[in-house]
Amino acid sequence: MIHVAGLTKSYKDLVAVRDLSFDVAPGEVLGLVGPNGAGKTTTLRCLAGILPPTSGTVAITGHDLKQEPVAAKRQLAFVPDEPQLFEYLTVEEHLQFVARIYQVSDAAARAPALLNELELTEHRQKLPGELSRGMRQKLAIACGLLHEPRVLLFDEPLTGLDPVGIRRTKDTILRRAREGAAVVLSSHLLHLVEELCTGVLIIGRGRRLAYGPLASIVAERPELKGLALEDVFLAITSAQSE
Amino acid sequence: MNGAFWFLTRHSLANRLRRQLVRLRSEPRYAVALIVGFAYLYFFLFHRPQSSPTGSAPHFKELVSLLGSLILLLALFRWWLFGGEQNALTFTPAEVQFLFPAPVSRAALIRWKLLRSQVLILINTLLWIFITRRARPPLPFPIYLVSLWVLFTTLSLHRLGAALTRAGIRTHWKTGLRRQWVVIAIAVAALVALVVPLVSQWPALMDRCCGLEFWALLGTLLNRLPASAVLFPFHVAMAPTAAHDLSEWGKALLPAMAVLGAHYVWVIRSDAAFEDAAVQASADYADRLARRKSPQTAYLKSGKVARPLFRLRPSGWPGGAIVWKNLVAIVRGSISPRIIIMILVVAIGFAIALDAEGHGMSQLVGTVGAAMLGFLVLMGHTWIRNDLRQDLAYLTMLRAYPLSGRTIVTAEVLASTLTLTLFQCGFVILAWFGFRNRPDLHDFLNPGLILVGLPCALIVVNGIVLTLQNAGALLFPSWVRLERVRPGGFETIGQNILTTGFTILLTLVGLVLPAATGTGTFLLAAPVVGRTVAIFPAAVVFVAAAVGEVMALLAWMGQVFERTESI
Repeated sequence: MIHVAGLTKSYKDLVAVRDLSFDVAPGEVLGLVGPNGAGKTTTLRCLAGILPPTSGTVAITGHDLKQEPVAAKRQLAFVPDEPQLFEYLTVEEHLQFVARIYQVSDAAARAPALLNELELTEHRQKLPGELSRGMRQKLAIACGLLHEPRVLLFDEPLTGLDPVGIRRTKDTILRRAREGAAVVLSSHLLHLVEELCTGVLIIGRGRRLAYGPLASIVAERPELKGLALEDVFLAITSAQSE
Repeated sequence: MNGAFWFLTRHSLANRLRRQLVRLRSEPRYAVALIVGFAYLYFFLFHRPQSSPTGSAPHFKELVSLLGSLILLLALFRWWLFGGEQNALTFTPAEVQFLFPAPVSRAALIRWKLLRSQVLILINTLLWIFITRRARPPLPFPIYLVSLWVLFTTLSLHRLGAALTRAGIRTHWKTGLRRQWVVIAIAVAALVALVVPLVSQWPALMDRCCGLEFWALLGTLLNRLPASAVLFPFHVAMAPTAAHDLSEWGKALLPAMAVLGAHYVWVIRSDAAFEDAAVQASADYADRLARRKSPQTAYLKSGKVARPLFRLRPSGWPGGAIVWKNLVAIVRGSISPRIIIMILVVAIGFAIALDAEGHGMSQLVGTVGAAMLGFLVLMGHTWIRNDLRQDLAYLTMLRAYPLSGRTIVTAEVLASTLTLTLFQCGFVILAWFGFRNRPDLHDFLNPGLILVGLPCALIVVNGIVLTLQNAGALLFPSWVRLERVRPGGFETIGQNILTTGFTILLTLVGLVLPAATGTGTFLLAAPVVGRTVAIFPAAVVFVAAAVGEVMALLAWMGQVFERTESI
């Protein structure tokens, strides 16, 4: 579903992402973790077609992002860490806008269930300025889910959510994965990654440090046996910085 | 407290200057813009032609004095009736955080506010001295400086006093009213004294609208008691600035200083609990600041959501979503109401100036329409900005959409082109309505030209201008004022001049081909089908040629957009 091979992204002298390769199959949830400045957001933005890679390929459901950007983007949704909403469109109008962009002909039928799932029904006539940070995040997620994408990319999806919102959003992500979507999420909340993800990609300074199910990562490093993801993460990233 | 104020002012100024110098050094294009900005100001301030002798004509002086007093009075009414707290009581968020919990008295907070306002007053005073130096009376620089400083400080104190009084009334409704009853009674009496003579002579005033006779009658009415008594303090405050020699100035200064002193005592002794109002005003200010940094939200008000012009269907051209979104933004007030009012005031002023002999309301309407149309043709692109110039702040989202760069760019330009053309067509109709009975304009006002030719020409010109503006935003984001990038200072003036100059130049170049083909078609068709009918094929050819040019430019901009990673 997501195929990344040799992804490299450079800015002048800085190599933000270096030769990254991984795959995410339908139903899988890949946790993208790394210290600040590791290249997580750059990687997600390359996957979303926002940043063109300097080299390497990214394919979404078989469509090369460079060759067929429009066809590839139709299949994916990107939810940024800071929700970017149009301040003059109401919640409901955001969904209408997205429906037209993604040509979702049955949006009117889908929208109420989605609003209900994300607890936005009673706020549907409100402007983003009248919503809390958490509600804005939920609206960004709703906009991403309306066209039923087969690939979901989340950058810190739970920032600003209350405990109930966190629970609901986790359920939403897992439900989409169960329905066959390939999900990549980046987060500093390692317990969340451990709970949600079927695999982990740990990156540091743009390089791949570890990749695969947590069990197989630990199996490759016997000294980490029995440790939680947080300890595994600290051990792997501190080894790189040394 | 004073020491803290001077520390903050000195260090803020120094840090700001240092930051601007670093930017100039790191990005030389800001230096170019700065030079152009300074050059503009130099020519504007120092190389203006000598003013006309009307500046010293006796009736002109009286008229200016009367108008000045009336403007001051209107400002005062606004502060008293509708509140001036938004500016008068505004503390910055940092001041609220550091000063309000600090162990300082209310009087100390007010003194802080007064000191801070002095910085702005001094800048304004210097600006006014330069701007009015040709027209002002021949008094030495320091004398005129003191005169303007007295006037501006008195006004500033009055606004603060009004804000404090209103805050006191709001906080302690009945007690506040009791404590401020004298001030309220004076305000009501002043309003009655001014309005009654105007109402009684309303038909006579309207008969003379809006030539010199109108202003003469207005002056006569307001120079009689009791209106003249109401305007007396304003004349007193303005008198030093209008003095023609030192002796006249000396006599005028003393009463003006007395008015200023009385205001100072009033403000400092005011014991109004203004903290709530100040915190609210400061929060509103911070909110406005945040909205301005956020695209298209500067004038959006929560809880007042207007309906979109039309409902967006999920099927159809995907770029239609962007056009719809930008139109919704306009309907919901992304355009500054202040700018609309300013344009209207300028247009009406322009119309009155042209219509000084009083040709009647119809001419006035026509002139306002034509003036507004002219302004929007020349400067409309700086006003209607619901396109890439605002949406580049959403670059991340736009690039994630399954749309080609060309579709996005075309939709963005289309939205502002349609909006601007619609506004212009409104003023075309207004101008036509006003001038429809003018025999000398009969040929120009033929229906073919007004209903087809002019709208076609306007949409083409707007399309080219706005495409160029958007191309500028895409290629040189630092040169076009993007919503999240608001550099201040002289370089902004330079940037605006340069971008507007280049846009006009390139628009003229872009119009050469459409104009040549359109004119050729008209010349060929006119002998066969007549001049009126010939406008139609000429307009079609003109529009087709221009659309072809714009489409080619948009296709290229789409490619640029797809390569743009960040702004």
